[in-house]
Amino acid sequence: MKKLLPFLLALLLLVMGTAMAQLQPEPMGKIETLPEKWPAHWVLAHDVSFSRVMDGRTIVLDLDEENPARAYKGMMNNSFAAFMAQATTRPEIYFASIYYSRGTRGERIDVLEIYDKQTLSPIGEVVLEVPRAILLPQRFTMQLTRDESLVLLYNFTPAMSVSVVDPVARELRGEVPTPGCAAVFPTGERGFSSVCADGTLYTVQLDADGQPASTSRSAQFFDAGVDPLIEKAAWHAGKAWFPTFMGQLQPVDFTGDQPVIGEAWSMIDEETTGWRPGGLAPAAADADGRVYMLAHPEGREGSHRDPGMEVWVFDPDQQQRVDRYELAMPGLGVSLTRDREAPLLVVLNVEMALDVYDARTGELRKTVANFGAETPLLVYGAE
Amino acid sequence: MKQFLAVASMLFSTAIWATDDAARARVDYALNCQGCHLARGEGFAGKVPRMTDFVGYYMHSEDGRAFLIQVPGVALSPLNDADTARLMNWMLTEFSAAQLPADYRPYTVDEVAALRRQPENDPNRRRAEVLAKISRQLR
Repeated sequence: MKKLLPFLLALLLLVMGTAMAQLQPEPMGKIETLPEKWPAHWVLAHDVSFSRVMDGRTIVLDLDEENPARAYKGMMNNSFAAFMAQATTRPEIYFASIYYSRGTRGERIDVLEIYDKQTLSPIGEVVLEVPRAILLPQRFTMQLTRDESLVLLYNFTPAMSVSVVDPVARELRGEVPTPGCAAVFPTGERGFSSVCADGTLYTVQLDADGQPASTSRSAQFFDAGVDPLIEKAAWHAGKAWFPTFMGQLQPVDFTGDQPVIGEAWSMIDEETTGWRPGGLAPAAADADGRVYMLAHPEGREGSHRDPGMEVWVFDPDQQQRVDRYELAMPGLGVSLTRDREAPLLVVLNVEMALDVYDARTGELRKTVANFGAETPLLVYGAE
Repeated sequence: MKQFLAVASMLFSTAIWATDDAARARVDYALNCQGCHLARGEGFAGKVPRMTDFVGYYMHSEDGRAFLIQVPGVALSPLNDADTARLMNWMLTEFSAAQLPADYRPYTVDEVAALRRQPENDPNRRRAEVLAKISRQLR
């Protein structure tokens, strides 16, 4: 037997080697790329991972796909309630994440991360010198200028300023002070406006190098002591509609170099007395410029973040409510897909699932839940 | 007993009256400033300028006086002009009486009203300029 053992071992090795040579391994870990322009019914769900905030992620979902495994297109990691913005002229998505050298502690680094839309992989980054604001995700903390040459980020240190980044050269261009004024609303081709505590807009136009070329301050158009403006505006093609605590809708046209502040009007009528707008992302607009607003009854001091029981649809040009959708479950945020043909209204419900409604009729199409997001607080339609 | 109560309540309301300005200023400070400047104006090094034992220095020049009202947190605050003037005057003596000049004058409501209409757009640069000038003056 002792003599036989080496022989048997040699034989075994020989058999194994032959088997390996003959069997081709099945292809595993298939990696696909996504289209450069994403279909209109794809959305990005930003999970800030509220209870473990260093572990945020943004999940790409196809709302037309019924098979949940296929509806999930992929995921991008980001950290500390990242800011997010999508380019339309380049297949790129930007995140502004925060990292600490020891995970939850240590030296803080703020970084603008450039992701490729086709591979969902980071392809570049710009380290930010000024720490960005930390707050629950909202759309107007980071925006591209209208010409898409610059990325603008809102800083709160608690001095307020805006960092200007060239995403193509991948260079930080500088920091523009926006004293007493918050958020960034792209204004004209290469400028932005911020909303100020005294009820004005502060507008900065930038030169090709991203340096301030001119600054101006609008007349006062709201009084935060009487009826505060909610900066989480509905936005379409350079026009914004801001709800106020008491239910006014304030239009502002940001297409020119100076914002044009329109006449505010009340979204509340006899039928809806006592209702108010509210939520984490209370307002959104569709490609036709119709405004969708989350609203709740029995509004009171402090209810501006309460979930909405209904979504109201407005034609802002006619200053008219055109529809009123009762929600299947109270909603915290609204988003629209970009298409004109069959836009979808995505409502983040209070159970942190996405209710998908037909935006034209208010009919509930489906609920998307259990897609790997704990707290998908903000949903963006694919640009 | 009735007389005692009447006298006590008179005394009590007089006491409230006497400290009314300071009490209201303190509440306005707590609601509008304290979040960043902290309870005694101590601030955060490198982020929020310290006011304790310091802010009075600004009163040594007209430019410094103007800056304190034109700084965005003051100029754009939701407080009205009279409340802002009361708050600033309270703050100067509460946090930094020792640094005030001998000829210190409290802000008037009109002065605050005029200055805050021109908020400073580049407060960091202006602060450096103002303080450089005052420190040369005090040297």
